[in-house]
Amino acid sequence: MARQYTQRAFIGGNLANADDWNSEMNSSVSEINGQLDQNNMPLSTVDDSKVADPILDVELDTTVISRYLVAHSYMPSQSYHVSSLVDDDPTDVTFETSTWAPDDWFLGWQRLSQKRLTPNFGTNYYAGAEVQFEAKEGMLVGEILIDASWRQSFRQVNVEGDLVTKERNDGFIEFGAFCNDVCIARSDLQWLGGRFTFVLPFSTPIGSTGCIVDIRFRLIFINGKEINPIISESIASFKVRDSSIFVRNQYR
Amino acid sequence: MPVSVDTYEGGDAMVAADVNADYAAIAAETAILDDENTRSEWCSRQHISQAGNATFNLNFAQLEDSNTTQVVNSTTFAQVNLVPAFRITYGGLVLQPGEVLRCHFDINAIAATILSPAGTPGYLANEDSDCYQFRFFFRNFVSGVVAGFGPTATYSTTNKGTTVPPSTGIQSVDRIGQRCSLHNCFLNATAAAISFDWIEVRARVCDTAYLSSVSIKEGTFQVFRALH
Repeated sequence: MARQYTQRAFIGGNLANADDWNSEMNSSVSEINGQLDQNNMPLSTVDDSKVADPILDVELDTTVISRYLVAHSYMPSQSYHVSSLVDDDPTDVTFETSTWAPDDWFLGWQRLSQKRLTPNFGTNYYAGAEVQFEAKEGMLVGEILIDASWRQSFRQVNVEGDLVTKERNDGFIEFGAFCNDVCIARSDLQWLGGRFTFVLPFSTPIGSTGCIVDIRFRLIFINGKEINPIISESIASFKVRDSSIFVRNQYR
Repeated sequence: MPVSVDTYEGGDAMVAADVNADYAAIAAETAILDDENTRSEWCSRQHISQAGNATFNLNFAQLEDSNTTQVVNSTTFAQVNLVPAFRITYGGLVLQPGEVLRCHFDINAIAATILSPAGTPGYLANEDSDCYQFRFFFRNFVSGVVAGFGPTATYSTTNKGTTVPPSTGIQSVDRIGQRCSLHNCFLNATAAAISFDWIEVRARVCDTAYLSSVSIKEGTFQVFRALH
């Protein structure tokens, strides 16, 4: 607050009273010793150099084969949280990946973290699939990225004694971002006949609470009409290569 | 930090040197105020400098072009160049530990020349064969090293799989004309500062035996730094 007015002014010719002196000096000094507030400070002067630096917290950062990164940066007005799995050699055709064979599929939303277990010194992380942090009341804003491949499936049918191969064009996929099990963004159904990289933005209000943001997907086959006897099915596996999540927690 | 001044009792003589020392202490402290001198939450929105939005999100840069078409036909990552080249030059932008660079790129793939190699007409050699890719690269201003960073955005031009079908009769659907996106939130997770000379977007085709070229157009590229 502003310094208070002078209560006992000294008059020329008089001796200064010790109590008056102490009172006046202490009122000034107490302001400086921790009571300065926004009324004392000049406007529009706080810039980059006057704000505290970020506090970095790296949970996991390895470049053994691919880069598994789970890291957090706590800043004065916001925090950033990153979880990613990146193959540092994109020309690597071995397709460093997580694969869901048809036997692995479930109904409804499936967690990418099911196959992105990243053990490190006894602790499990889910690099590129999930990020956990303590959120402060405000907003979460971020994006998920997922490089997904679900190639053509096909079946063999018996057409009047002849084996005929038919493509299956009735498979769809949907991606979603979830915060504490609540869907905060979804891509809608996509016909994923091939390999695509999806970038899905999201935002949601958040309280001061523990928080898990993760990537999920669901695989859907709309069983179309097939009038001929089906001899065999070849359902392509769903594969994921690079994936990442970043979350910005803007404090209230 | 807190200031300490003399306190006098009734009848004490106020010595000039002591009084001057108290004034000097106050004068000195007012020039070096820190967290101990202020109340909590003293800094309001009005106290923050708005000059160039310079406090929280710095160095916003954007490139975009909607006219030029670029043909990508190399398996080596090459700069996306729609005239202008999609490179943002900093000349030594320092990213301290914990600071963030956010990059976003998106572009249309408007045409592709898709081949069907003899021997594999209905399937691919691997998951990359019919794909084209985008990735961010940067040059370290101190070491001069150029390296890719963040995920790779990969898009296929067909729906073919790597499983050999029982016959080559199944239909292949060409997948072109799609909007491609790539983002990366580059968080300096090291203990040392990183100095950026430039950041650019590069593209390539993965296997010219399957995909000889892809044409890209109408791209945008944004980068900004988050500090506080």
